[in-house]
Amino acid sequence: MKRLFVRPELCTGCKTCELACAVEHSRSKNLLGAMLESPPPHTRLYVEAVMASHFEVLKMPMTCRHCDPAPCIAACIPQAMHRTPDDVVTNVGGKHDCIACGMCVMMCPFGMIARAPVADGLKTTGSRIMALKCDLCPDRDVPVCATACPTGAIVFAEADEFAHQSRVRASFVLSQARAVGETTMVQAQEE
Amino acid sequence: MERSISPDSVLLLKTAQAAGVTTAWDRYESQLPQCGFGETGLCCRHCLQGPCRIDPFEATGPKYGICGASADVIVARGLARSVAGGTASHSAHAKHLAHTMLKYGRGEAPDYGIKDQDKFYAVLARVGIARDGKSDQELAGELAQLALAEFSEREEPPVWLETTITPGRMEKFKRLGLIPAGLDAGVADVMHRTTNGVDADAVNILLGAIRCAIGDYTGMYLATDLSDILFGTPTPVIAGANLGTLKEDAVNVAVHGHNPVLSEVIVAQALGMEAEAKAAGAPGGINLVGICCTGHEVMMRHGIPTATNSLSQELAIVTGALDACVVDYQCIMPSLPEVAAKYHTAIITTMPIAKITGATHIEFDEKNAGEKAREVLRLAIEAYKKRDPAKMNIPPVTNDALAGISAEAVIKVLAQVNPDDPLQPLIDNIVNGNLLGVCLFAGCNDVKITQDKTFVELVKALAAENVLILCTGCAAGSFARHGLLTPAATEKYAGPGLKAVLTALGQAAGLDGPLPMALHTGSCVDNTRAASIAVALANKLEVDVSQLPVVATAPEAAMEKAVSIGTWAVAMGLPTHVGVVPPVTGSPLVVQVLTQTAKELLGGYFIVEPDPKAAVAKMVGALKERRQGLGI
Repeated sequence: MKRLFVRPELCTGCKTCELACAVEHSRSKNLLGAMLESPPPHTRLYVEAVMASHFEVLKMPMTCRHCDPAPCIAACIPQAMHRTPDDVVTNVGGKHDCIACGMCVMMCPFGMIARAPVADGLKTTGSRIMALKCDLCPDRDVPVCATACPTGAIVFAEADEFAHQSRVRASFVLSQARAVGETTMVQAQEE
Repeated sequence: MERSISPDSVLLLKTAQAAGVTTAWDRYESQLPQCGFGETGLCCRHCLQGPCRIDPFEATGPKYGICGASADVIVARGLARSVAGGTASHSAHAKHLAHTMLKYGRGEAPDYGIKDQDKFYAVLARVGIARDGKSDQELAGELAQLALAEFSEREEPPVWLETTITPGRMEKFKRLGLIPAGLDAGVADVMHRTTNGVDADAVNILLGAIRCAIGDYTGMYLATDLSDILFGTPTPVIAGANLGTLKEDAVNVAVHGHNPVLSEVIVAQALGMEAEAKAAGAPGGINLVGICCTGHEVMMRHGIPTATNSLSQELAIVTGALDACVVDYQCIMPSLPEVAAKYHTAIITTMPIAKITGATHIEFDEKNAGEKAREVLRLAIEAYKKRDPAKMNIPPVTNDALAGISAEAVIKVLAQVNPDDPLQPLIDNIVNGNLLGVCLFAGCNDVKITQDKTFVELVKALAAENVLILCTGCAAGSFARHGLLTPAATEKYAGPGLKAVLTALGQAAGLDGPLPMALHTGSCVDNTRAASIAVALANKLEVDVSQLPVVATAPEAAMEKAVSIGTWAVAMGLPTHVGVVPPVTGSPLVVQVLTQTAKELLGGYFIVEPDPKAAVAKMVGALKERRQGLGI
């Protein structure tokens, strides 16, 4: 099952992913239309800033892990939060409706659930409050954040595949280090 | 990260938080993380096909904009436009003064006059206007016309450039094609060549930016000249600093922005309004304070205290004791009316090009200057009546500061030591090693780094290394608010050589102790005052500025104006330190040109170093390299 993975070293903090996510979860599904909607659409992933030093800010895209077992499912009183056959954790289309109690917000160890107003079903006006979280974009093959990211910092892949790519990169670094080490050895011998 | 080390800012930030007032620091945090494409300069919005951005990583992302512009071109174009923004600001400031002088020449500005005739005649002689028995008023008109002619297309080099730099520098600029056709022409040229489909050679674009910045220098020099003529050349004066200079029992009025055209008249009118303020229940009368560079203009000419810098301008309102903030232009936060809505402060805009929604606009014009100034002050007195004592929280922090050390004042002090050759004592002390060199501190505070921290660390370290410090604008404001523009600071932090020199000069100037550790040379538009000292030194030694042990630093730079000043400082031949990384890191080529190639071409170059300790080492290294070059 494909998941969202993050390569924070590629994140520039432009927040294009947040914008694209909000638009994907709007009624109009385009930027201009989404900007005119009330309530405004809400992003389901977040780029966080971490002050690394006096003058350096690190950037980290935070996405839902769709954990298994998922604390948000365990905590959901009305059993709205559930796991779909596609392995997506969502509170839409569950046994009951979300009642915006906020239990899942409290339980998510990554802070990936918001409690905010959302357009009420198919009605063009009116809104309700509910828990909002990543649904891996059911209308798309690849979640919009991964598509929108200009640097490839957000990757939609099988865990094995992502880990393999990481191994390849790490191997490359290690081989460089070995090459440097050998050169140093040669130099030492020459001296 | 600490937000500020300025004690008054620290106290008032807590007050702001408790009162639910949002400040620039809060807004900065809500902007985090900031977009990396913007941070690195890799975003272009110069045409409607964009925005385009370049992937800074070695991934599969785009390496060219839609038009084909590379990272180098996009970064260079962005930087050039920043220089144009800064130049346009200083040029508008200078033109404003020229128009005021023109109106005075035509008899249409009754509240203005020639305050410093000596400087007036000296400038006339320098720019080549013969007096021929004409009246001052007539001559002022002529000077204003000549000044205004600097801005458009000219066949000859700008007068305020050619007559104020070393012959060697002028020759170099001519050879490299770096003389702008006119000051506004330089800005227009950058706007043109950076639009879609014009200049696509990063180095050529950067040369265009440097040419524009040389126009910036010229406009700033002109602005300082005209300000001195109209309002007087600053002479040493002791003034207060920090937000503790606001008074509980007075109508507190802050003048904020950059141009002295309005603030000078407010200062003149305030005296006549004392009775009115007292009648309104303020026994202390009217208490004027300054924020940002308008503040420095009136500080160095009238001893008006400098309350705070641009970054902490909102905190002046948070004292609950500021009755009016009257602004002209540049560095004025659009948030002021919103902050003021929680208090009683009247925010008064005065310039047709700088209105703020929610502020009261009293449009200022030279013809009715006095009347407009009284109207502004009356509004402040009205606001005072609405002051809520429960919200009053003036931080008990004040410092004294010696300000107003213009180039003329420096020469005057030096002349006390050697009347025949005032510059000789300074040269002697540089040669004998008492002084390692000279450093000009300029630039803003920047919300990205702890307010004043880099300023204070750098200045203490450089003074300990026996570097003579000049400062302007928010750098001067920072030092003032930390008690560093005082003889006591010299005693405490200056190295032995610097201390000896400042003590000798202090005695010559008739002070009890040494001169302050840093010499307050003016507002930010007055950076050319420091440049003129360097040029005088170079001319006397028959070398170029690029050989002198002189460096510049903008450790907490924030504004486009700082970018244009930094660029001309480099063009003039100064190693120029910047403590905030500008949006150029997306192009290794642009970084290389600014930090290395510029050195070969112009002698000056940028030193980008956020870490204060490393920055000191690099600046001291640059000074030593220059000394070695001169064989001293």
